[in-house]
Amino acid sequence: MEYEIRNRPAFANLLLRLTRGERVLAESGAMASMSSSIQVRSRFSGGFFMALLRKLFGGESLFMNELSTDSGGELVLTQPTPGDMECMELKGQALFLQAGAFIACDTSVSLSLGWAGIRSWLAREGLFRLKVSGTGRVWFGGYGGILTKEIQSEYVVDSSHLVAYEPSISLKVGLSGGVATSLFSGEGLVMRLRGPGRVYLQSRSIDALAAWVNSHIY
Amino acid sequence: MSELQEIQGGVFSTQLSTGRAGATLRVNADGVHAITAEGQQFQLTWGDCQLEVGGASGRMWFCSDAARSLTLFSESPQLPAAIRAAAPPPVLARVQQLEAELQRKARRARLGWAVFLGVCLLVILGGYAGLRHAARASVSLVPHSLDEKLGRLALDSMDLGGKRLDDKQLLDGLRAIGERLRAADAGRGFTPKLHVVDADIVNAFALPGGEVVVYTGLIRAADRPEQLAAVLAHELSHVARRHGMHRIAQTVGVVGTVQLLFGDVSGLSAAALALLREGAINAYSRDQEREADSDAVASLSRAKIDPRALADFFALLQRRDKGLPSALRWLGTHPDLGERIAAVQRAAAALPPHTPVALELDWKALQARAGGRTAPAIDP
Repeated sequence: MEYEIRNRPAFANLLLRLTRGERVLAESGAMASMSSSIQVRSRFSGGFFMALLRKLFGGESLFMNELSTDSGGELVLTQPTPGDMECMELKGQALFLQAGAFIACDTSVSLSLGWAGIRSWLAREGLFRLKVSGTGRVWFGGYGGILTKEIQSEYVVDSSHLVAYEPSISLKVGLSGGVATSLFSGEGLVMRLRGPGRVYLQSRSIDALAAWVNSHIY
Repeated sequence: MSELQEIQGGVFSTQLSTGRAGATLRVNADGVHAITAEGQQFQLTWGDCQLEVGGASGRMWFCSDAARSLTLFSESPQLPAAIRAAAPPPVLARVQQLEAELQRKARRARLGWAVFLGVCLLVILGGYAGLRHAARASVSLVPHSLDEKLGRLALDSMDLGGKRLDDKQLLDGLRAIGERLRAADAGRGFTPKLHVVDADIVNAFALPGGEVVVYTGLIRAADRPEQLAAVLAHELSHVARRHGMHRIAQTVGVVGTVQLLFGDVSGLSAAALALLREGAINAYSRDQEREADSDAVASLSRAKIDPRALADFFALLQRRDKGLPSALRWLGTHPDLGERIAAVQRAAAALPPHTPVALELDWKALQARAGGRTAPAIDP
């Protein structure tokens, strides 16, 4: 199955070309257009209970769509926010995705929900995180551009900018500076990430946009 | 030689096209070895292996070279176990150091959770206590006229279980007792409005504002007028302490009570009325009942009526209730009668001695007006 991420970075969409018998698992509602030869089948990914957990705590849909074809065809997947998409090829390792980041994966990739901890929750990154593991490609997206960063030692990220990270990355929530600096700098809580491993960051924050819109409503 | 244990993990290496891959790790006397799914092999000898613990779970073990160009890692507890079994003493010392750090972190995490849960519990209990207190406080803001309005509306709209009697002799007898109690400050702030309902029910109840309903069954069952006076004193305490209003406030909440205060008598007052109608007879809490008993003893004493009459009336009820299964008695909101009798007797004994003044009414004639027959007993 070939893929192409088009219209990057602002309005990225994922074009997948499926040959006969190929299948892909996509987030419910991600399909924008497709050949009439593509069949869509909804299913609970990982069973009902796991799907329910992913829905409640992972920020994903209850159902996943399995798209397949008997004769070949193409399909276009998008995400709700304007922004870039990335593909990571898993070779037996795993990747954690923040809520709402997942777009699609090969059917050989397994999806599960992992406990992210109180620290992650304090940094407004959620109590749980989606874990993709196994062998195959996984496509995910973010709001704005996606920055890839290989971390060896410590790296500081403002909360709500994290999109995905490898399990070898440790997360700590901390103040951006002293108490006064953290209060008045507008940075508040930050995530202190420690490698080795790779992180994917989004250049924009939906929370910041929401706060900006909110401040202009009244 | 036994076969080496295979441990699931991964590799970070500049030699890999994507920089990382899942791998199977093996540990032996030379060091840590890894083989990826595509067959690429990596090795770090004990001399080169710098051990660290971390990762998203905090339990991932890393073995890296000094330049960090190669890192072998696994989250499986099999990796530290295998290292302990095969590594030379300097590496073992590092393993022990890291395991001690992990244990310290786990203890801190447990402590953190305990503190977090404790704080949550305190917030919940504090919030509940605060709401109860606020509901109580909000009742004090509501004018007495609202108690009277709600009580009157509830009385007019509820099913009393019998016909209201407009019998001058009965009502005069009750009012004489009510007046004696009112003079002794029972039902303070509210004027008792007494009603008699013809039903074989040995009970009486009070609604907010001073509406008190006495069943003819109670008048017939009482041995002497002081017992009737004791029941009235108890009910007037519910009125004076605005127990019914507190019950409404706790049910509809503080906001609801404030809305009532500001005149929203549509939806909320309907809910309040429903509560009063459905729960008027037996819905005060155990604490409220104890409070009313204690008040009744004090006001009876002030009115120069023997306060032990309340205990006698409870004893009478107790005799009548014998036939009820004990579980059913326990389920009632009223505290256990034996406990109430003992509490009333203790409170009466603690009062300064006084000579009771008899109630000026023709008790036999009053009972005769109330039907004159004995109310049917539960236990025949």
